[in-house]
This record gives sequence, C-alpha cells and structure tokens, in this order.
Amino acid sequence: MKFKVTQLPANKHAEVVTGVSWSAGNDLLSVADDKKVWLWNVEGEPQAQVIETDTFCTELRWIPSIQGRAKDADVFVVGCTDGSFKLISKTGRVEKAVPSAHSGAVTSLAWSHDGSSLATCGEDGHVKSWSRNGFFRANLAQAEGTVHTVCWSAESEQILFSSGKHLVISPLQPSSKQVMWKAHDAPVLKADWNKVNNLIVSGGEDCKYRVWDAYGRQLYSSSPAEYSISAVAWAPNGRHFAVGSFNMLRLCDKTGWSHSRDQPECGSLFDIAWTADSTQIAAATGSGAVIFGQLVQREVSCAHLELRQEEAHTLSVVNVLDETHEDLQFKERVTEMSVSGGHLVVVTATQVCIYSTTNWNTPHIVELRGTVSLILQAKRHFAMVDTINGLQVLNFDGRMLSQPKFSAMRPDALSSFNVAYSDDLLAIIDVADQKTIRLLDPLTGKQVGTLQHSIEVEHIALSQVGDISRRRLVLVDKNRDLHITPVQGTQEMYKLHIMVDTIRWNDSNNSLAAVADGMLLVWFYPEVIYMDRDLLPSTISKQPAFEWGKTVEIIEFRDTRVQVRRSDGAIVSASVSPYPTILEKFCTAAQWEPALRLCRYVKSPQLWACLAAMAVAGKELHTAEVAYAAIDQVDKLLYMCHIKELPTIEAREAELLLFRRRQAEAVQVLVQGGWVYRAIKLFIRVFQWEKAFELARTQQQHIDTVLYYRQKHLAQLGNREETIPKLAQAAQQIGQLNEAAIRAKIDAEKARERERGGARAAS
Amino acid sequence: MSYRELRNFKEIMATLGYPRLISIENFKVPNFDLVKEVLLWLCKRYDKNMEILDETRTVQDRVVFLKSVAEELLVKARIKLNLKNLYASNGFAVRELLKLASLLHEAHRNAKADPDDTDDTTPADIGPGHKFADLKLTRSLSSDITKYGAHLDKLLGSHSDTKEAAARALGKNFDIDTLQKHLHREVEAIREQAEQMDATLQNVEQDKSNLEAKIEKKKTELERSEKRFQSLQTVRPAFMDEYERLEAELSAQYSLYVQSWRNLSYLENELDVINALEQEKIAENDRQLKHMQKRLREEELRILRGQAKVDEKALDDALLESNMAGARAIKRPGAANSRRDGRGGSAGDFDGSDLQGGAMPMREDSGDEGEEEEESGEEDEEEDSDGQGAFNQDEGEEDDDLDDLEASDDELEDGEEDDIDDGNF
Repeated sequence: MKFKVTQLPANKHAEVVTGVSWSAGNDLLSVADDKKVWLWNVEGEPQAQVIETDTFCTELRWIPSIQGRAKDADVFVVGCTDGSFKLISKTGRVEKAVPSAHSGAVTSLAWSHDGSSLATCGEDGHVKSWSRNGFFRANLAQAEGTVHTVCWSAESEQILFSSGKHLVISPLQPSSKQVMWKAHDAPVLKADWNKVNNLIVSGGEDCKYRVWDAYGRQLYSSSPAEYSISAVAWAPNGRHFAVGSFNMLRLCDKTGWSHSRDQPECGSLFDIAWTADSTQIAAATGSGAVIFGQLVQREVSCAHLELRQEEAHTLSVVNVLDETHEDLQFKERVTEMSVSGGHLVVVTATQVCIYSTTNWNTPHIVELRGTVSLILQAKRHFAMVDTINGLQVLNFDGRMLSQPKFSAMRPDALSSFNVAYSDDLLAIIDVADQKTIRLLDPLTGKQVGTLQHSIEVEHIALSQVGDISRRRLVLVDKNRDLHITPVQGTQEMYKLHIMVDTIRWNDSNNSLAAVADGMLLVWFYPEVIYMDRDLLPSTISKQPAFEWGKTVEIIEFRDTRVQVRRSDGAIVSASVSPYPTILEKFCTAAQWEPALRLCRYVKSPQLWACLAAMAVAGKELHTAEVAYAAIDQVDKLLYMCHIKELPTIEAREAELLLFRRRQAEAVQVLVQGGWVYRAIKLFIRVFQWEKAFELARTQQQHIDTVLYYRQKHLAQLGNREETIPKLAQAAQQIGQLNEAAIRAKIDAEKARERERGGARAAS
Repeated sequence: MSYRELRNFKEIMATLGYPRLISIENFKVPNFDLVKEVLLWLCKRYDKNMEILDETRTVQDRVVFLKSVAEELLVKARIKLNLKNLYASNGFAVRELLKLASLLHEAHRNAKADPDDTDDTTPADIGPGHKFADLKLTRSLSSDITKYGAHLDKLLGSHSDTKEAAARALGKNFDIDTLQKHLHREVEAIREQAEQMDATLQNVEQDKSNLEAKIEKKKTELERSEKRFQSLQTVRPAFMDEYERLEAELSAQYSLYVQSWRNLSYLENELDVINALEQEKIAENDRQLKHMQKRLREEELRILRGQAKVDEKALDDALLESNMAGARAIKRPGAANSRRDGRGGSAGDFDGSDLQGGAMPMREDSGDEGEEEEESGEEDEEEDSDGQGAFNQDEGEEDDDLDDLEASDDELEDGEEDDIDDGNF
C-alpha cells in the first residue's frame, strides 16, 4: 500500500501553506501565509479563492459534519497569528471573529468529534474551549511555554495537548486527574487521537513519531528521521496514519510500521488532512504547494481470491487456484472493499457494487450518499456503516434488510473491533457504556438482548458456524482477558485466557485462535467449557510465537491456516491440526464410529479430549466412555458407565446435565418427566435440604422422605438440633416418621422407574 | 518572538540546507552562539568572500562581530539589521536573521524556476548586436571557470576526508526506485549464481553417478571373487589325502624318535654310573695290590734281615688268599670291559661309541630292544671268547651278570612305558 502523490506544477500559494482541511463533502480548503484561502476539489484541482484574510493564519478546520445536519457543515475556523480565530462560511463570509483569544499566536485548533465545541491553544500556553458559535466556554489548561497541538479524545471527554516534551491528557471535568508523560526527547509538534481505535500518534523535534494508547503507554517508537516530524494525522477509519516531515511523507499502519515513504520536493509538511473515506490525503507544505496523496495498491484476500487496487479506479482480482485474472473498472474512486465467502463488496465514492465471486460481469449496484467506513460480511448478508444512514444490513442483491439501531449508538465509532457480525446476530459494544454489549437481530434490526461485563470491553468476536443456539461470543476486556459466553439464554462468562494480544474465530469451523504471551493458542472446541471444562487445557494447541511482538494481529483464520501480521508488519502463516475440524464434522452428523476411528488413527490425547466433549454434547454415552478411557479420566469414565445404567431417558439426561454443571436444568427435566423422587434425591445428594424441601412441598410428594433423610443426616453428625426452621416446622406437623412406609415408597418409585425405563427401551 | 516567524525560519533554513536541525525552542532563551553560527553560515551562503571577524569571546568582540556583519550585509546585500535585536539573540533575533534568510530563500526559489526562463531567453540573447556585452561576459566567465576549477580541485582533494561522511549520507537517504533497481540487479546476480550453482550441481551429480557406477562395478567384482573363494574353499585338493597320511606317519615317527632318544639317554646315564663304580673298584684293587706289595716287601726285608722268623705256612696262606681276592677283584672290571668292548672296543673310545650308540636306536622298535640286547650279549660273549683268556675260568659268573643286566633292562622298559603314559606322548 502506498500513496500516489500528485502536485500541481505551479503552486497556488505564494508562501508557506499552513493548514488544510477536508469537508464532509470532500472539498479541501487550504490556507497559507499569503493570507489566501483556496478551495480544491477531490481530484486535486483548485476551484476558487474563498477569501483573503487580513492576518496570517496558522491552522484551518472545517466543522465536522454531523449526521442529519450536513448543511451546517459549511463553516470553517482559522486560527491567526495575532491570537484571534475566525469562523468563516464556505462562501467566504466571516461569521464571527474572536479577537485576542490568546496572547501571541493561536497555534492549533480542534473541533470535538460531535462538532459542538472547539479547543484552541496558543503561544501563551493556554488551552481554551469555545462553543460552536465562538463563545468562550472554559480555560481547560495552562502549560509552560507554547502549546503546539491540541486534540480531542474519542468521546470528546478529554483533551490532549503538548507541553514542551510532554503530552498531557486533561479531562474536561476538573475533578478527574490529568495524565502527563514525557513523549519525546524534544518538543512535541503534533499529535492526533483517533476516535475509532482510541490511539494517539505524536511527532516531535526529536525526529521520531510514536504511537500511544489512551493511557499514555507507548506502543511504537520510530527510528529517527532526518528532520523533525512536523505533521501526523490518523485516517478516520483508524487503520493508518500519515507522517510528514521535511520532504518526506510516510504512510504507516496503526501499529506503527510504515507501509511506504515518499519524498516529494516540497519542504516541510505542516499539516495533513485525510478525507472522510480514508483514501486520500492532502498536505500543506512549506514550498506553497498543496500535495495530494491517493491510497493505491491496497490488497485484500480471502481464501483463493486476491484483490489489489492498482489505481484509484481499478481493481484487479486474481484467482490463485486457476491463475485467472480479472480487471474491474469503476467510474469513481474505490474507497472500500471487502471479500469474503462468495461475495465481493466494493464501495466507490457514490456506489456500492456487489459482485459474486463466480461472476465478475454483472454486479448489483446500490447508490450511496455518505461515506462508508466499515463493511462486515456474513454468509447471507453484509453490514455496512456509512455517514448518512449509519449501520445498515443489506443482502447480496443490494436490498436493505434493516437498519439496526439503539440509542447512543455512534456509527462513526464502529470498527471491526467493537462490532461482531454473523448471519443471525450483530453484537456491538456500546460506546457510551463500554461494559455493555448490545445484541441485535440483523434481519429485523431489533435489539434482542445485552451482555454485561464487569469492566470495559475492547474487542468482541462471534463464532461463525452453527445456528444461534451454538453461537458464542468472545470478548477481550481492558485487562486483555479473554472471556467467552453464549449469546442466548443466561449470560455465562468464562475466562479463557489472560493477556491476550489478538483473537479470531475460524471462518469455517468453531475453533478460536488467539495470540497471548508469545504463544499462538488455538481452542479447537471452545464448547468444551459447557460440556466438561476440566478438559479445556487439553483441547488447546499451543505454538511458540515469540518474535511476533505485542501488537500482532490475526488477519485470517480459515480451515487450518492462521495468517498473522506481526508487529513489524510482516505477514506470517501458521498451521493448525486439521483433525479436530474433521472430528467436529463427524460429531455434528452423529457419525460416532468414524469419529472413534479417526481418534484411534491419530492417537492424540487432544483429539480424544475434543471427542469426549463432543460426545457429551451429542449425548452419546458410549463414545464418551471410550474417549474418557483413552485420556485416562477414570472418574468420568465411571460416571458415564453409571449414567448408561440408569433406567429412564429423563434420568440419563438429567445426570448428563448435572455432569455439565447445569443442576437447575437437570431438575427441570426430571420434574417435567414426573420423576420427583429422583429430583429430590438429586438435591439431597448434595445436601441442599431447603431446595429439596421446597421441591417436595410444591409437588406435595415425599416431604416425609426429605425429613427422613435429613434426620438421618443430623444423626450422623451427632444428633444435632434441626437448624432449618422450615424443616423443623414440617417435622412437627408430620410427627413421628414411619421408616418402613418411606422405604416402601422409595422402593415403589424405583420399581416404577425400572418398569418405565424397560418399556421405553423396548419401544 | 513570533510563532510564525520561528516556524518559517526553521523551514527556510531546512530548505537552504543548514546542516543543523533548528528547534522551535532554540530561541526561547538567548542563544548567542547559535545566532552567530547561523549568521556566519548565511553570510557565507550569501557571499563566500565576505570577510568577517568571528571572534566572540568577550562582550566587545561580539559587538564588533555583529557590527562587521551588519556593515558587510548593508554594503553587499542592502539589508539593514537591528544589532540590538541580534545581540539579544532571542525571538527578535530570528526576525533579523529571517531578513537575510528569506532573501536567500527567494533566490533559491527563483533559481528553481529559472531553468525554464533561461531556456526561453538564451536564444534571443545571442545576436550580432550583443557582441560587446558578450565579450565582457566571456571574460568574467573565463575567470570564473578557472576559479571554480581550482575550487573543484580543492574539493576533490578533500574528497578522501569527507568520504566517510558522504558515504553515510548516501547510505541514509535512498529512495525506493534505486533500491528496487539494486534489488533487481541483485536478483539478477543471484539468479546467475544460482544457474552456475545448478551447473556445478549437475557436474557433481554426474561425478556422483560415475562414482556410483564404479562402486557398483567393484562391488560385483568383489562378489564374484568372494564366490570363487568360497567355491575354492569347498574343493579338496588332490594331494590332501597323501599329505594327511604322511603327516600322521610323521607324527608317529617323531614320537618313536623321541621315545628312543629318551631310552638312549637313560641307558647312557646307567652306563656312566656303572663306569664310575668300576673305576672306583679298580682304584681300590690297585691300592690293595700296592699295600700287599709293600707288606710283602717289608716282610721280605724283615726276612732278609732275619729279624723275623719266616712262617712259610702263613706266607703261603697269605699268598693264596691274596690271589683269590685279586681274581675276584679283577673279574668284575673284566666283565664291564667286555661289554664296553662289545659296543666300541676300548675304554678310550668311549665318546665315539657313545655317538654310535646314539644313532642306533632310531631304527629300533621298542619291542625289538630285548632281542637287540640279547644279540649284543651274544656278540659280547663271542668277543669275550676272543678276548683275554685270563677270565675264561669265571664264565659262569659272567652269565649271571648278563642276566642281571637284562633284568635291569626290562625294568627300564616298564618305567619308560609308564613315563610315556604319564607324559601323554
């Protein structure tokens, strides 16, 4: 991936260009020391001179467009060297001028992401906030010396500014504490905070650029360039950032390693602005030129298909299986593309083209108004986030199925990390409350439930195979702990691992891969947690991955291949055993004999453990017995044998549910089947006297049996007094227990079970 | 002290190629050294021949330095500098420096734009009307050429010193295209190398196959030889039977020889013992004889002197007795002698007879021994009869002795047989 840099042969500005900014409608404004403001179109052609200001300007910023209020966004702000700033409309009328906002020059300006407030900083070291209309709101901070840069946090609740060599994150609420750290060895000149991935990039006079997380922890530090870094800017989608220096323009991945480096002859890059679709930049340069960079040579791949954007308007598709090559031409520039399963979705500036990978000739075309920032594909439909309609679900014919929505959803903050998508479910981390995950139905767009975690969630993913009852959601929280939970029924969080760097579900089966502690971990059958969680450690495959680094990302996990992008940007592949997948196929088809044969052939304890769990899931006791025997789990083997000998189906099912740690369901099954005595006995076995009594009372059976066992228990403990008042009361009511009668009753129950079980077995 | 001016100054200095990075914070506190350095550098950029005193150790020196710079610039560039601001060397100094820097920057920008202009203008300039101007220009240009030539020479001379820095600079600043070109070249070279390697590999393969064929050939040869060897081992040579038979015979002969040798040794030992005994007896007899002769002489003398009466009868008895004793004493040596004579004549030839006797038993079986002995005994008897007649009267006793000898021979034989058994012959 790299920039295709273009520049007009003759400069429009005579002096140093100090600020550039793209509007939501992809118009560019540039301001220079010749006091002129020029308007450019998206192709990089100058349109008109908007205004000639009376003072030197230092920076220019459009008001960010807000969904539904697009026409308001025709106003921009310029900061001036005399300490004032001006709000100017697109037509060139000065809407408002705020004189002496700072003493000395205004060095930088930043609109909050919702466009409701403006932050300014100046040579005097003040950081101030202003309303949308230019009214003074508050003095946010006071620093030593010049503040060179200011930017807002993702939620616009905090503000980041530089103070000499330090970066400071200051919350808007004065009560909270501000964070300050030494970011560079020389003054910090520029910083940017991305709202999607919540990372900060900064550049300074020590000629380095660095990437930080929102807590000020360093994620990356570049090697020094030749000149000081004068501009950094995140792409709005948070996947790349651009770095500018004297005669240098770099494109870097969000983890810091650089995709490409250009050396335009234009002096220092003072400001870099990205278009909303993250495909083009404009840069203000010291020579008076405004240079444009178009992202080209982007690549995506899926299974056997490789896509590459050769030019702004063309895509080439290579099928590596039969070496066929296809060139796709578009009228507009391609802004986004995604390929998965059998479909390719290409987003251009005004259209969405949906191709089937078997037919490259006739795409389904949908007209588009906003800018698409995210595409997620499931098997039957895909989700798309654009700036006008927000999140929407479309089928592959281009028909919109729904527009999932909940209050406080911020479509612009959605990324592949905080949205998980599958055919029957859409999970989104609530931006307002990051401990909550909202579950939505992609077909109707209605919310079907929420999941609540104890701390903030950073990354979620949904398993891709099976129906919704087998759908599992994994989440990585702020502490980088990996949890798994089912999405239906009650929420059951189970912590799979700690300090996880990245995760990904397999596209074609239910295995889960993660990188943690320098190891590549693959959970072949995460379902094992709900079957027999003692087996969990033995169903994990671990491969050393020490040299991959901390900011590693799994970019594809399909069949047996894991593709990983290391911290330094290199893509490496690892492979995992294919047997668990085959085994799972057998087990879901209830072909237990081939499954057993496979395990015997492979002779791996890992596979046997998987089979044991799958057999328990499939209620196949014989296979479970064999599998437990193979991994030397004698206790469980014996229990399986015990279950096999139970007379009734309900009893067997209940015992299996007990084995899976689902007592409530087990009792329910028994009571529904009419085996109250067995249900009561189940409670008594684990000394849950009160529950046993409650059940007996509601069923009006076997109250005396419960009391009898209770008294026997108390006698064993050394003739203690009854401590449970309910039981004491019941004992008083019933009086003396007739042991023989109770015994007879129990025997009768057992006989009934045997009889029924025999009858069922016969039929 | 303006943000914008500092920023622009920084940018201009970078564009002009000032070797140091200037920080935006550099002029926050007065920094005269930097001001001086920048000023000097800018002046040199403006006019290389500008003469400036760069002595700034004392306050006075600094003032003089600034003054000289300002004067020079005023004269040459028509730039008026505010010395006070410069001396303060803070943000306001930047404004002064910027005057000079922006002048240079302007020139720099124009120079960039120039090539297009000159392309258009030069053809128009050349014409007959401009000859005079041309002459002047040519002169100054020619002087320039020599000047620049000398400078270039000097610079080339200093190239070796700056080589390292240049290399570092070159190493630092590379662009993708050249890199790619290099890479392509490298790839090409590697490919060639790979082809070469392939060729050598093929050669090696060939060698290997040759060697393998050779090995194979040798192996088959070895196998054939081994087979032949085995077949030869199984065939029994024609002379083997005879050889074995002869060998058995030889061993039998040898054992016989050893036995005979032992017998012989034993017998010789016996002979030595007997000889010694006989020697002793002879000596004894001689002694008795001498003693008797002496006694007889003394007797004779006494008789002659008449000192003693001659007892004739006693004398006769004595004589008779002594004769008897002498005959007995002589008889045994005589027998021994006859035996020795039988073997080889006199006692003096003992060694020679020994050798003869040593060779003889080789051709004798142990069973024949007795007969031999007997034969030799008969020979002895014959010889005896030829020998000294003095002993004839004692023949009977001699026979006894012979019997004794034979008996002792038999005993010897028995002992030998025992020995053979014991010694596992």
